[in-house]
This record gives sequence, C-alpha cells and structure tokens, in this order.
Amino acid sequence: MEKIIEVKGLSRAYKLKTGLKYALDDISFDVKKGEVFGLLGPNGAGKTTTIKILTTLLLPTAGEARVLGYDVVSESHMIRNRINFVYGGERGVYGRLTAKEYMHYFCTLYKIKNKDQAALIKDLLNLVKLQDAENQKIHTYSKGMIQRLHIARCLINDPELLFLDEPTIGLDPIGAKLLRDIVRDLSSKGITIILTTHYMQEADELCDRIAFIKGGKISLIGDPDFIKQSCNHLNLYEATMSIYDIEKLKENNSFNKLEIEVIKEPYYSLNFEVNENDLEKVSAYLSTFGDILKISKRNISLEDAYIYHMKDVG
Amino acid sequence: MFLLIREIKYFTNFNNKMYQFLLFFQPLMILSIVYFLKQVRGDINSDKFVLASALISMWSYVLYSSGSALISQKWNDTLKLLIAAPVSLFAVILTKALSNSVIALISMILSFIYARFIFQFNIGIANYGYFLLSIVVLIFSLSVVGLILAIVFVASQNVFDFQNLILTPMILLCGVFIPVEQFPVVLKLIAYLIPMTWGIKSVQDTLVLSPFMFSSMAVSIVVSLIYLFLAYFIVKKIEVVLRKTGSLGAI
Amino acid sequence: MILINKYGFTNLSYKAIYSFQTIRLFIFFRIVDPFMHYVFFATLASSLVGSDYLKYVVIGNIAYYTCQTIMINYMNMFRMERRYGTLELNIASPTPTLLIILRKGIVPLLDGLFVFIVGLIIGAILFDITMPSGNLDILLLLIIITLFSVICFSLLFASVSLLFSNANLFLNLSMAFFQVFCGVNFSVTLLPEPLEILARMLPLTHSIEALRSIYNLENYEVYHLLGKEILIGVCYLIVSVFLVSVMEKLARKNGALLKNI
Repeated sequence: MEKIIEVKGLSRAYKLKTGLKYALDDISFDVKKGEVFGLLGPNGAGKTTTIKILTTLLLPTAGEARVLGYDVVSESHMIRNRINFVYGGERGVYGRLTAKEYMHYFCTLYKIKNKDQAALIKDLLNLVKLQDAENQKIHTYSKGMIQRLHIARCLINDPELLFLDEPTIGLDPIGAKLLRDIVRDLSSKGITIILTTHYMQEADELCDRIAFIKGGKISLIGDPDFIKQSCNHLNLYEATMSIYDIEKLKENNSFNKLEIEVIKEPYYSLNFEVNENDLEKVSAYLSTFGDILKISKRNISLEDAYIYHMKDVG
Repeated sequence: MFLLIREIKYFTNFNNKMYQFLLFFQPLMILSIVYFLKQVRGDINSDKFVLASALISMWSYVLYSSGSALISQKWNDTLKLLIAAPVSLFAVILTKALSNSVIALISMILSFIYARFIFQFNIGIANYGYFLLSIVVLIFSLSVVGLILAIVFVASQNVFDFQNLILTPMILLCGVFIPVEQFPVVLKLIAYLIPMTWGIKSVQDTLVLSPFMFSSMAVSIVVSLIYLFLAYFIVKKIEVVLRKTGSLGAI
Repeated sequence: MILINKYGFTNLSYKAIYSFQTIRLFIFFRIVDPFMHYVFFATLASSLVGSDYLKYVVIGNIAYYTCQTIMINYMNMFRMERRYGTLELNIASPTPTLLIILRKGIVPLLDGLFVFIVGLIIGAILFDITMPSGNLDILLLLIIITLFSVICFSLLFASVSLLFSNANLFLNLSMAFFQVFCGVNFSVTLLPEPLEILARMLPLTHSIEALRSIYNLENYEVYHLLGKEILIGVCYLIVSVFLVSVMEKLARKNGALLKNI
C-alpha cells in the first residue's frame, strides 16, 4: 500500500535554561493510505509535537518527515492544501461569528470559489449535524458542537489526510459517540486519519494501527491485536466471590494490580493479575480467602496493554 | 503597613509591558517634546513641565493599575476568595491603591533624573522638605482616586470599557498644564471636586513656595479623606450585596 | 464589491477579531477619543509656546492619531487571533501568510481613513482649521498616500507579531517615537542633524509637512513631499514582504505560532 506519511529519525528539541529538552527523540514510522492511525501516550509524550510538525506548523530539529510525498520543511505549501487538522478543546474558533460565517471565513482562506461556498457549507454542516445551529454565534455552542464545527471546517478543502488531536476530549458520552461515528464515516470515504486520544476503547474501536509514544520515543507500534498480544504473558482474571478477611487478601503480594470492588458485604468483585496461567490453580489458591461464585480469565484490553507499557512513566 | 510591603513585593508586575512603558518611557517622550518645543521659544519655565511629565505618567499608571485591580480579580474569579478572606475588602483595595501610587513615584523620580541628566533642565526645588511633604499629599490623593476607580470599574463593566477615555481629560481637568483658576465656572467646580486636583496644586504651589501651599495641602487631605470615607461605606455595601446575591451584577 | 459581501473576508475579519463592534464604542473611540488627544497635545504645546501654535500641533496630531489607530488595531487583530487560538489555523491554510496579513490590513486601513477624515472635520469645526479652497484633490491624494505608507510600516509590526506573542512594549515605544520624531508637535528641522535624517526615513514625517503646507501653516512643495512619502512607503513594503517570510520561518522553527495568550 502507498505510504502517505513517512517519518525518519524525527526529533524536536526545545532550548531550556537547563539545556536541551527533547519533545521528540528520533522517532520513525509510516502511515499507509486509508488507515486510521492512532498515536497514544501520556500528556507531554510528544503526540501533539508530532502532529504540529506533520501539519507544517513546527519545524523538526533533526530527521525527516514526508507527507503525501512532500517534505514538511521545504515543501509545506504543497502539503497545506491537501491536509487539515482539528485540535481538541474549545479554542480555534471565533466566538463572535456564527458557524456559517466561520465556515465562509475558512472557505476563503482555502480558496473555495465564492459561488461554491454556500452549497459546500450546507453539506458540511449537515454532515456534522449543525444545520439547525448554523446562524447561532459560536460562543453559545457546547463543547461537542464546537468540536463538530472543527470537523466541518477541516473538511472544507476535501483533504486526503486528517489530523485529529484529542477530538473527543471533554465531550459527554453522546457527543463523543457522535464524533466517533463521524470519524468512522470519514475513514470509510477513504480519508487517512491520524488520531490521538486518551480513551483506549475509542482507539481500539477506530484505529487500524496504533503507536505507543512515551518520553518522545515510540515504544510499540502495530495493529490493536498485535499490541494486545504483546501483553499475552499477562494473566488477567476477574472473579466474583465472598471474602471474610479482606485485609488478609490485600496484604497478600502474589496478586498484581489487584482491584477490589464491593458489591454487597461480603461479596466482592476482583480484578487482578498473577504469574500463573492455569485457571484451576488460581481458583484453588483464591478459594483460601473465601467462596468463589465466578472466576474467569479476562481478555487483554488495549487499556491493559497501555497501562502495562506506560507503567514506568510519571 | 505589612500588607503594603507585601503588596508591592508580590503583586507589582513589572513584566507587564504596558506598565513598563508608562513608568519608564512615557516621561521620556513628554520631556523630549518639551525639550524641542522649548527651542521654539526659549524663556520657558521648564520646572512646570518636568512636573507635568511626571504627573501624566503617575496618573496613567494609577488609572491602569488601580483601576483594573479589582476587575482583574473578578475575571480570574479570585474576587470571591478576597471577600471570604478575614482581612476586610476595604483594607485590601486601599493597600492596592496605595502601593500603586507609591510605585507611580518611580516615574516621578525618573522624570527628574531624565530632565536633569538627559535634557539638562534646571530644576529649582526651593525647599526639599516641603516638596517631599507635598509629594506625600499627592500620593494620598492619587491613592484615593485609584480606590474610587477600582470600585467604579468593578461595579460597572460599561464604565471600564471607557477607561482609556478619561486618561487625557483628567490631566487637563486637574490643572497639570493650565491652572484650574482659569477654567470656566462649571469645569472649575468639577475640577475642585477631584482630590487629585488638590494634590497636584499642592506640589505645584510648593515648587514655587507659594504662600498658599499649606492651605492647598490641607484642602487636598480633607477632600481625599471625604472620598476615603465615602469609599469605605460603598465597599461595605458591596460586601453585603456580594454576600447576599453572590454576584456584582446588582450594583 | 468586497465591502458589501456579507461573507467576505474583510467583513468577517472585522466581526471576528476587531476591537470596536458597537456603534457606541465607535463614536467614543473614533470621535471623542481623538478629540481628547488633540486637545491634550494642543494644550501641552500652547501652554509651552503660546496659542498661535495650536493649529500647527492639532494638524500634526490628526495625522499621528490616524497612524496610531492603524498600527494599534492592526497589531491587536493578531493578538486576538492568538487569544482565540486561530492564528495557526490561518497560517496552516494554503493562502500565503503574506496575503492573509495584507487582507486583514484592510479593516484597520478603513478605520484609519475614517479617523483621518473625522479628525480633519473636528479640526475644522472645533479648532477653526480651515483649508484654503481648491486643495481638496491634493488633500485626498495626501490621505491615500499617508494611509499607504502607514500601512506598509504597520506590516512590519504585523510580521513581527507572528514571532512575538506580546509586542506591545515595542509598539508603545514606536508610537512614542513617532510622537517625538515625526514632526507631530514641532518641526523636524529642530532636531539635531542625525535625528532629522532618521525622522526623514519614517513614514508620516513628510505627510505631516505636506498636510500643513496644504493648510498654509508651512510652505513646502507638496508634491515633492508626497513623492518622498510614497517612496518611503514602498521601501517599507519591500522590507515587510521579505520580513513576513523570514518571520514565518522563524516562528515555525521556535514554535511561536502555537503560543497562545
């Protein structure tokens, strides 16, 4: 498949009084055409820096990045018309304008002919379900509406490549779902999407491939199943049981990442990891603490993998 | 007093670009204009204009710093904390206004330094003791004006929007250039109602050792005190309204 | 055409980021405030040198205030862009940065035009500064040329504001500099030789002399001065065009575009 983004040895350093600080430290990856590619990592890991460099707003201090075959440093003008981006949060809008005016403004910046603007804006606002609010001033909008307006804005130039930086941050569940549906819809139309998010389930649901990034370096890259398999050595269990001496269980250190939730005394639901993959043995050991109602081995989720790989961060 | 020192130490923001300009550079600009205009006609009493340049900068600084002292707290939502604090709101605003006036002195000192060393003006301060006394009186009147501004601005956003508009009229009205005595009656009355007019008059009188200098100072102090009491009662009222309604909209 | 287009770039730029939105604010800040400004400097100068000097100073300040309006508001537009976090969205569009900056300049330019004309009207009504008849065409030419050179100079600031998120001190200092060195309150011939040469390299200096000559307050060759003013404007335009691309590159290099206030 055609590579739409090629990143080789990319670094970005900032000068601080104490010396150089690397926001990105020698990262390399490719993104193929039509993919939804997730960049996951804690705050400050370098996700946004990567996106700013790829959208030509920031220059790297070392390495090379090509977007759509063009160099982000020297050929930024060739890239800008064919990509677009959305940053999460409520910034990046003019509160005094209505959605329609806002869209017109960016249509002009993206060189859409005057006579084509109205029809395009109507389509895009319909797509993100803002048609009823098009004449409201943006400062009256909710976070979800602003986010959808950003999506509409970023589609103005019919981009081949979209960067979505935490698009669902701070949204309520319905707003977030609406946004995920839009992302899926865009992907089905063949647009390549680079997505960052802190919601693992969202990443699992949307992304074809994922890169874990921490401390400015990529620690793992692959499709979601590959990433989960990287944690196959983890033996995760979930159990429902009655426990008589909860303190004794808590003090026992053969359980890793033990999470205990009380259902109704003395019944508890447990989540834990142990160095043993035989369910029978685990079950036998656990029954020394109380009566087991239900126990099963749990599938590794993307969140489990994330927590495992990021455990040494902050 | 302790509050005052702490206020100056922690809350004076010399990084504010606007303040830097007002305190350090504006006197330089006015003095340059005076210096070159002086060449048009030589026999100018430059003392008055050195003082004027100082007063313009002092007043602009007080207007922008004290004026926005409360309103910026309102924006940062820290006004509530201020009201909940055990120190009375009045004491807090007064210290802010006082500290800003004291800071404004920087521009006065600079004006004199610039005037003496860059522009080679002769500055004839006849009696330094009286002059310092009159400066104290001036600072008091400036503080009271700052205090009033802080209250008016926080009570009405509308008035705050017009902050820039009172900058120059106040300078003219308070007799910085033209003595208030020469104003038409209506303007004269308004001017005499402003404490700053008297503070400025005290300094001007002292500079030439006018026989009225002590009476000017006395009037300045009395007028300032009247406003201070007025401000005290208004602030008390604001506190009550805030506690009742939780917002300042009602004022 | 561009003016009446409801969804035109200029109109939307004005609505989105310009400081004066209501008629009330406009009246106060475009009529009352300049008037106060003229009175202030007229008083300063006439209390120094006498009231026969008043017209001279007011004329200078009418031109100065126009320049101040354009420069401050032009810069403010970019500050607002940063405040809203929209600067990067603008720059990332395929429209060249220079073109974006130039087109945003139309709003302060129109504002400046308004202030200039209102200033002259205020001068005529309240300060009795009347123009000898028959000079209207030269006056119009002068207004256009002055606005041109001022906007070209302001472009420098606009490009600098790509790199610095707060260029206010710089702006204030320049305005104070203009007040002293552009012959606003006194003739630049009073300046020491090197400073006069500097003054002659700034916009506004020649315009103000020409304006006073039109109003018969000074006697200079008006067309000659206007020619110089155009030349100065063109020079600044060339420097600005060059500077915009340099500043954009630098801003991308140190991440300044992404800094919001």
